[in-house]
Amino acid sequence: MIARESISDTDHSCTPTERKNARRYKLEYFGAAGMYAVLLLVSAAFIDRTPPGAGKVALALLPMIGMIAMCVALVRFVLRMDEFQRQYLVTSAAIAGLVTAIATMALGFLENAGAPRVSMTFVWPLTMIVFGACLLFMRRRYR
Amino acid sequence: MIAQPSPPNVEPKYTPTEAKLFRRYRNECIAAAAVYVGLLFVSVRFVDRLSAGPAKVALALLPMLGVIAFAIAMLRFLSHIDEFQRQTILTAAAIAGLITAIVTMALGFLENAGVPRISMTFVWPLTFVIFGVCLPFVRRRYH
Repeated sequence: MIARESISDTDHSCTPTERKNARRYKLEYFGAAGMYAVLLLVSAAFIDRTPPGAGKVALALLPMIGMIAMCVALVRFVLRMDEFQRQYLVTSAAIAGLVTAIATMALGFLENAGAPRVSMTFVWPLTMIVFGACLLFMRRRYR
Repeated sequence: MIAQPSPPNVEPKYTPTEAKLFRRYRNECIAAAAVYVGLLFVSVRFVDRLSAGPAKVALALLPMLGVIAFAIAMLRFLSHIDEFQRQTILTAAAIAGLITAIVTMALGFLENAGVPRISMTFVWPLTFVIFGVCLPFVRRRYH
């Protein structure tokens, strides 16, 4: 407990517990992302050969298992955090949700002007990019 | 098509200041919704008559003024309520953002199984419906 942080550490603002939590999150997240990638490949490889029906729908939804695992990892990470960190993470996520809702609304209106419909799969990356940008901004602001 | 977040339940235990804030928020929401509906009507009615170009894009995006007014009303409300209530709302919004991202991802994968693409304008209502469902749960957990 005395030597909380060694001098060589680049990030002096993290306690060992926080580092451990972050490491655990990284492991869980990359595990989930790996699973997602594999399931997506499987789904994409076989979806065209499957006749329409429940089997095709199930195969199409297969990568969702990886997606949900990623969310579970994120929620577990948030629950392990201290109150202060959780607060700005939650705030960033709320802003990301709002900005995504506004941006997708604008995209939807552009469809009326002839823009093609974008796949719903782009909502997730959009949310995560806005979330990441908010998080960086808030971290700089509140430190 | 008017996706309105469920206004906070006005319970008798609120202070007069809070009641005033809720009232103001409600009025601003109604005004923003009216602007949105008016502009949407104008946009949808005339967008087909314009030839492709910046004017058409601008006309298609016109209802966004109402959407943004709506978001501003929400942020104004959030910045005036007390810390505890804000935390409740932000948590519900963060959960709504995450669930929306998951649901839209599933919808996107269903496109691979032959389900037609739906308009991006549905993301906003989806987010706010989920937000409205989450809010009572989060509130109950915090109280």
